[in-house]
Amino acid sequence: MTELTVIWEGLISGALYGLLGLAYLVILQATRTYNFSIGAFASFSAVAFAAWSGELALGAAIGLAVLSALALALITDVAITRPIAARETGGHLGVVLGLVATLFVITQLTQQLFGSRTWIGTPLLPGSLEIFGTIVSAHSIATLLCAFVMCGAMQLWQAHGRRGRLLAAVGDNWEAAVLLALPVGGIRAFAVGLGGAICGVVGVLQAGGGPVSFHGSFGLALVGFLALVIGGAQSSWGPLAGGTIIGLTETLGARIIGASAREYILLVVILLVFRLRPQGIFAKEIRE
Amino acid sequence: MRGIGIARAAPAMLAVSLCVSGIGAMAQTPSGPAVKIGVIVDRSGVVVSNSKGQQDGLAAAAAALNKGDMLWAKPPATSGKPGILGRPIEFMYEDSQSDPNRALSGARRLASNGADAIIITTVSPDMMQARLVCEEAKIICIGPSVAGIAIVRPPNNAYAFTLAPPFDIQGQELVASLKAAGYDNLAIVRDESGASKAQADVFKAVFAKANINVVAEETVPAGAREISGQLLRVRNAAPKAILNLVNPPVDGALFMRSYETSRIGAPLFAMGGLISQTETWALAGPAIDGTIAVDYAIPENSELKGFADLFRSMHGKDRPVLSTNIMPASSLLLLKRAMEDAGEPRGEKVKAAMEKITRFPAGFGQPGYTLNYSPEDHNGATNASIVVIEFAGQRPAKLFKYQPGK
Repeated sequence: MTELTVIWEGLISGALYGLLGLAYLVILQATRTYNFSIGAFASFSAVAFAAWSGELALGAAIGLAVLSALALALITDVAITRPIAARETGGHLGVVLGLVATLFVITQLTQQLFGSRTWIGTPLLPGSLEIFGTIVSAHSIATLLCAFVMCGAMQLWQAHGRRGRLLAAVGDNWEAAVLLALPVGGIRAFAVGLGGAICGVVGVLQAGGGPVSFHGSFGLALVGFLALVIGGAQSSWGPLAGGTIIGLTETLGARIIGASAREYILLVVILLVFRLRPQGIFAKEIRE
Repeated sequence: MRGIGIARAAPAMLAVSLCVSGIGAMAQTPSGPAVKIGVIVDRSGVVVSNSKGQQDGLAAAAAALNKGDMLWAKPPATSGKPGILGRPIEFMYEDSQSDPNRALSGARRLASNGADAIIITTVSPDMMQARLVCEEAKIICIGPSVAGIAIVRPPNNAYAFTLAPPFDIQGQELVASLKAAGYDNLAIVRDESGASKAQADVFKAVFAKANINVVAEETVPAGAREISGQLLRVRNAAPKAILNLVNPPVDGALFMRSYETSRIGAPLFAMGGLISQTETWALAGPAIDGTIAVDYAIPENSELKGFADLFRSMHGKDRPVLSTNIMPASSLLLLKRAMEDAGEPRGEKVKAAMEKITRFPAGFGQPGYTLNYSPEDHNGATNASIVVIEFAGQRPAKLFKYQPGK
């Protein structure tokens, strides 16, 4: 273990947080709502993958875990978000509260299905390398690559893909999209499912790298949200940048000052970002 | 003539022998209304594994007592009657999730549902709350594994009793173990809970008195994904040993697995919390081997073979029998003794009877260890309650070279 380990682990944490932020972004663009249940989708996927990877082939366990998170996301949208939003006349408080309650419900569902025990999943890639005296697991390399590929793919898709540009348009101006008779409902379902699938991937990556339990939902919901807020909602790279800042802050803060100061350091970083760049790191420049 | 006499006597002899065996069978079967024992458990909080182990121990002990087997508390330590007061033992459960507020409301429900005593299988803060209910209802509260000394100190301690040695005694034996191994400094790694911090604070005071230097103290945040920063700080402090006070299984497993890859190399010491969290053993993998733990039970103690056989027949043939299983069984035996001495299951007489129990075979601790209570001392533990064990093969396997009193 060397000082580089701290930086590497910060990048890996940042990659996971960034993917959660990406899931928030995709669902936000389609539904105009911060879906705090994302933490529960990812946590369910993590525990499910860890439980099933001991019983099934790796590919099957990954597929089922990702599909589970996707299904939870769609069910949440159909059963919670849409009905509540349809009744709200102003603001999104009811939807937000409904989604927070859903986070609790899915957390309990995870416990009911998989128990209270701690699980460890199968790494996506076995083995490790030694780089400049630092042990780097193949699974962590896979995690970092996944994050970059997924954020990059999302950026390209929203710039050049038909549905991607449609989602970007809906996210930019929902009312205009409705007026232009764009298939808002269809793109919403697609985006929510995609967001759920991203959460599923996060769960698989997390479980393959260490112990997980049903308790993890709330922490994941919070860091994903912060990654999006810090990184900005105008680019698919924004959440990854925000997640990286959070991940490195956590690990370097623990290294330099100690784990007990972690939350205070994170709070200072968040306040600085809000003070200096409240729109987030990746924000659209608007000509006046 | 003799043949005719035997022929006439045979039916009578048969009838008498049937009666005697019937009476014998009846004597070993408890009857009448059950003695209800409330149990505060944790089914989804931070001590799930520990609480489950205690519940399993209680179930085995109750099964033995209901069959008339007094385990290690044979007469005159107990009456020999089956069950308690010749009545069957029945458990009622409330889940506190290791939340003191839930423990309080759970204790109230147990008391209002007719519990004659309450056994707390969770954490010290839960018992601090539950004892209030026990004092109101005049029923015994007993905590087999809680170590907070404040539980048995005024106010509100009248009906509260514990078995485990308080942290300062545990700290003394930890110091003795460290010195026996030749270590005069260590690092502490703990979780973020208040209980872990309280434990660490007591130990630091004991270490200071014994001139054992704490060179680093790091925490594992709840649900952390990695702890590289903390381990580097520990490594740079160059401790000769590391005290592991990380109790939640997910965080404990993270610490053990990260510690192994860190190559720090200092030996690990731990407390009974590691013994009770059996989940952590498998998750930690080979990293746990060599850990020296301050616990309360001799591994595979031949004197408890009867209990161990019954326990395994009920809960799995490969289950290790641990202090978390034995100490609740001791609690049930203590309740039996106190209730039978008092002649009733609840009330001031039972409390008075508990306070008069001395030289009661504990079933745990050093060979021959007994529990002794008094009106001033509701804890009853001494240094001889402690057994220092070493992990091998990913389970508590052997006695450490140092043992209290040897």
